[in-house]
Amino acid sequence: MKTLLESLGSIARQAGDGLVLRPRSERELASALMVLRDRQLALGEGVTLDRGGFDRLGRLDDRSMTIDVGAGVPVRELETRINLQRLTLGALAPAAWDATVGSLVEDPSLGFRVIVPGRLEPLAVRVTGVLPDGAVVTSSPGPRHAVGPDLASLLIGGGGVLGLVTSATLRLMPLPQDEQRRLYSFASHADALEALRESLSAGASFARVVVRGRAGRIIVEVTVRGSAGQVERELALIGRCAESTSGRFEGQGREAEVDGAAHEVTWSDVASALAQGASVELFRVSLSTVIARGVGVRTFVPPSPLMRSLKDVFDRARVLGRLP
Amino acid sequence: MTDHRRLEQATSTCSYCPKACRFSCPVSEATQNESLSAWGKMSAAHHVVAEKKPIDVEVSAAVHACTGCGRCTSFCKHENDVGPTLFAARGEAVKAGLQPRGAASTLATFHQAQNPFGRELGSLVASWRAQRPVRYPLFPGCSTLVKRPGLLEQTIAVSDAFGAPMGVAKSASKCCGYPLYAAGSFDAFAAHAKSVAEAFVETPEVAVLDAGCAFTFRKLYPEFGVRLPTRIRTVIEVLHENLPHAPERKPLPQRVGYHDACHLGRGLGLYDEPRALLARAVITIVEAPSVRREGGCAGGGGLLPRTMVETSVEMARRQALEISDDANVTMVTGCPTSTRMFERAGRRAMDLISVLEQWVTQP
Amino acid sequence: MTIAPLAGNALPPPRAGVLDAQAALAAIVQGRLSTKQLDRVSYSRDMWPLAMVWLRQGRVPPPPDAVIWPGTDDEVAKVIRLARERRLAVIPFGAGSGVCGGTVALHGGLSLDLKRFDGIGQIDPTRRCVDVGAGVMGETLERRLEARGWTLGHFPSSIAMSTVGGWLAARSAGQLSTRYGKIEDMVLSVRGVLGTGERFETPERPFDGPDLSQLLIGSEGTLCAFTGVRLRVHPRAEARVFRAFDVPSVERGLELIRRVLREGLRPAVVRLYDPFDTVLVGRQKPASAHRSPSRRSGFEATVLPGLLKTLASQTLGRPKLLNPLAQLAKKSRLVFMFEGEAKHADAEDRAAAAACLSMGGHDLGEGPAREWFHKRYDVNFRLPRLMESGTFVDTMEVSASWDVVQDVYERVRAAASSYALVLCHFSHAYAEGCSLYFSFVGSAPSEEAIEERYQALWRSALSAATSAGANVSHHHGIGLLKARAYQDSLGEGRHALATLKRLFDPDGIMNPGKLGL
Repeated sequence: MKTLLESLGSIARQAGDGLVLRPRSERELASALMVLRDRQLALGEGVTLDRGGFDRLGRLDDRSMTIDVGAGVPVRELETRINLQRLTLGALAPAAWDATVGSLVEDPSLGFRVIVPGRLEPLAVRVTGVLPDGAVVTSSPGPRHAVGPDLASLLIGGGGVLGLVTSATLRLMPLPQDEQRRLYSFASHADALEALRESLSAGASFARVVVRGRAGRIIVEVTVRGSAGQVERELALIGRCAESTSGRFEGQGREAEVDGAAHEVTWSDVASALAQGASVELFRVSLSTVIARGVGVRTFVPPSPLMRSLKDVFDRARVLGRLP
Repeated sequence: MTDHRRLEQATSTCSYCPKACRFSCPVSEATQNESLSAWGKMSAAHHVVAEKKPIDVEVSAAVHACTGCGRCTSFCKHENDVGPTLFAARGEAVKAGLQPRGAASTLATFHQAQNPFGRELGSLVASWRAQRPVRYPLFPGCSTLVKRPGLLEQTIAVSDAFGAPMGVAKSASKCCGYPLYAAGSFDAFAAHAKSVAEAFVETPEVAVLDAGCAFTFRKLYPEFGVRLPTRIRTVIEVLHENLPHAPERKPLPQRVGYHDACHLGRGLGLYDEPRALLARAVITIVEAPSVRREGGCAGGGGLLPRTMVETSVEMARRQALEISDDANVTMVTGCPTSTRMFERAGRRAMDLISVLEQWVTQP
Repeated sequence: MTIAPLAGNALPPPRAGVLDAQAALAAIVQGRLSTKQLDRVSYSRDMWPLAMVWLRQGRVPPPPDAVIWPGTDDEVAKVIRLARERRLAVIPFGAGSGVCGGTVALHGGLSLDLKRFDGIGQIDPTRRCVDVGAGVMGETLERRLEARGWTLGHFPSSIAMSTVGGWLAARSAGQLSTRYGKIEDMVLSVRGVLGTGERFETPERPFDGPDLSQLLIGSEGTLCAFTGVRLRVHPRAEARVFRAFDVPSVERGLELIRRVLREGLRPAVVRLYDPFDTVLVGRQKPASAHRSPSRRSGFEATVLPGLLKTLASQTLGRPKLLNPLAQLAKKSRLVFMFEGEAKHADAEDRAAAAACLSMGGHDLGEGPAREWFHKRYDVNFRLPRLMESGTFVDTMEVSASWDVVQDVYERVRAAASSYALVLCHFSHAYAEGCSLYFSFVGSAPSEEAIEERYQALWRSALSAATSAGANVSHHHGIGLLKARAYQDSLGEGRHALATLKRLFDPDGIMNPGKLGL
């Protein structure tokens, strides 16, 4: 009988006690997964996956503002490359820049951007990946669809537990021409957060927000990016929304960053943290959730029964690892 | 009455329509049944009208599942006459002897007593005959005469306070005949309308309390070629005209919900007059998201309270909820039938006249 | 697609399996079950235009054996579990406004009417959301929200005749989607019952895994029945600003939309009508010109329909002669509406106008755009007269990225123009592409020929769209009509779909035949 390494052929190499898989195509990844499954092995248990082989920087479609890119491409490298074309991935949370395209798209929190009015949409407009049974899935073309259940959701934001992203078509936006900061003070946390949500609903977007208490007032620093016209319009809008909830313009200063890890939280989590005197720094600010620093530690939420069922049926052999 | 070809046009229009008024039919909202949407009922009628299939019990039930509220027509760009068309199709059910029980019994009672309650109205009217001069002869409608003498009393009190004294007209012993129309007995309705016209000969003007009766006189009679020699106005119109003479009183510290009764609103176009009266009498009026021409229905018309008892009450319950989900808010309408429907649905309800009476008689 | 319509006056009786289970089913729902012929016919079709052609022929699609009205999640679960035991098909039903045959009871069974789930909860002003029952009619919901100062922002043409559950089942889009998104963008979580009979409620963000709602939304009743949803709401717009332009060509119009969105502007509405559609839009009759059908003159009621039928057959029956006329018209109409906070909407309108003028757009002011808004649902009311005239009418909506939109437009036009008059408008615009909405109006010498032409049209048009890089549907869904094209488009993804089906509906009882499942 062949050894594991022999079965995997050129896809695998030994690294210390374990194996590293480095497939270069969906077919290679599919066959590697089948080998692991046959031997009742799983990724993460002595076998790690290196998606560096999916390193294609494909066509940049300037008209549609999208780029086809392999899962192994580092996000920071991608950003540098597309900046040359005056495009950007936009205002992502800090951790996104250290990810690869695959891990970014699969991340339940980071792989999403905010569009007007305060809505979240996946960074990937289209995705290709491999399911544990070896099927190669490519999602529907077009910016939105009505073609059945969204199979891309097995991959996008899925944390790699139902399938593995191998490439994606990512949404881009024009490189901002302008960036402006504004400080406002509010009578209460509730007013400050309501002004932010009101601004989002009305059509503003924030690259970054810092909220902290000082001398009886709540100080909010907002950062807005975009074309010159867009920044001007949105700052005016934010100003009006702030005024309608006790907000007072306080100039253009810069608040210091908040320490700690950033994770996705609800507005109610942010309000609780502020009520306890914390300062918070917010990224990817949507009406739904924000990615925040300064809002405690992330609480563990056990997978839902639906998620367990999906894992059971798509990855019965747990070749992609176990659920937490 | 429209001829067969025109009925066919009406039913065909709905059959090929993608249910463009779907949400608007209060009967289908209460029953949640596609067959009882305007589309469903007209499609059912289409088989009978256009394809000349014999009517059966199911189609008969469907064409009877309409209060004639006209809400669907308000949302139809063709202004298709759904209610009148379905009522016309009820004629086929009468001919085939396939009426729902409530409609058949109403007809039987009417034929016996000339009103749907089987009561002798002449003596009731006689007991109300005024011993004093009145400015406006009053036509309360048989439902108020039989079931709500208190409302009649209040109407007279309010009219006095407005300097527009009313007294029950002699001709009030006649039912307007609406139940005959709603039951699809059109020949009998036309004959009845003629007899009412004769009884009205010596009544140049009348104030009608029940919006359904006023609608029947003003809108249905002419459709059947009968023109009354009488100026027909609702009590609400008369009171509104005399509002400048109403006593100076503070509005009552009440929060009430106003419902546009279908015959009063869509039927007669009276939206502002009742609101103007109510606005003088109470501090706060709440209304449903859809009002006036687009307002909902309390389920009282088209014989529905007799043919689909539970559905008609459910309609009133839902309409009250649309107006306010606060059980303490009293429903106010300008139609005694609607008021009764809200009460049957377990909600506090008052006729607009009753509110005005409280207002004018407060210390 | 294999479907055999039946003569409308000779329906077979309900299947024995349903009759056997009738008492037990009725007991679950307090008697709210019907096997009446009228109800079976009413639930036999949605608004699939082919079914309307059949209606004209006196035929109906296969009807369900019974209609059942559960009122709680528990009742739905019990009905589905019993249906599993007895192997009865279950077809979730909202208000039947779909246009792809998505509720046709191919194998009979139970039409599961969900309109008793008609609750609208209190609006949470902080979280900006509301819980809504799947059976709530769209127009009812929006009116209730607006009365309280909020909006869902979802305005499909079907808003008057569709339910929230139907929106979820078919991934509905509204006319203001460029700002508010499609229904799947508005969902925080969904609730319902799977084909296993198990109840579910999807979690809300933050997730630790994929967005499970998205794996169920769009399933068209093949995986589950939705009973409720938590939806995002927005403050009702303070102002709406309208403006229309004539642009020299479709190509220029598309480029304009693309640039406006690239600039970061988010109109609530942006629509571009191709030259043919522009001519028709510009000639819309005012609503008041309609005459109540029962009050038409003798000429209108008796002579005119025959004339229209002949005229339709002579013109629409010869689309190869008709479609080239489009070459004579060049101008395309572009309609914008911005809404929201008044000053911001004004500022966005000015910025969009500047972009349009700089690219050769001719500013028509607000009039035509307001006119569009005023008549935005009127197209529904045109159908009866067209159907009575012996034609077929249908619409095909696909979406594509900006780089291929023009190509999709041209190829579909070319492919469809042998079968029907072809109009197109572009709406539901996104930063990376937009939806193309084709309208087809056709005729043929006989009803049989009409059906053949209809089928050939769809095969040809869908094939042209997908080969040019579009998807199969942007917001009407798949149903029966596009099942084959959909399955073909999935590639190996069809295994994933089959796996979902196996997991959520192991006995295959949920809306069998739809989505090709």
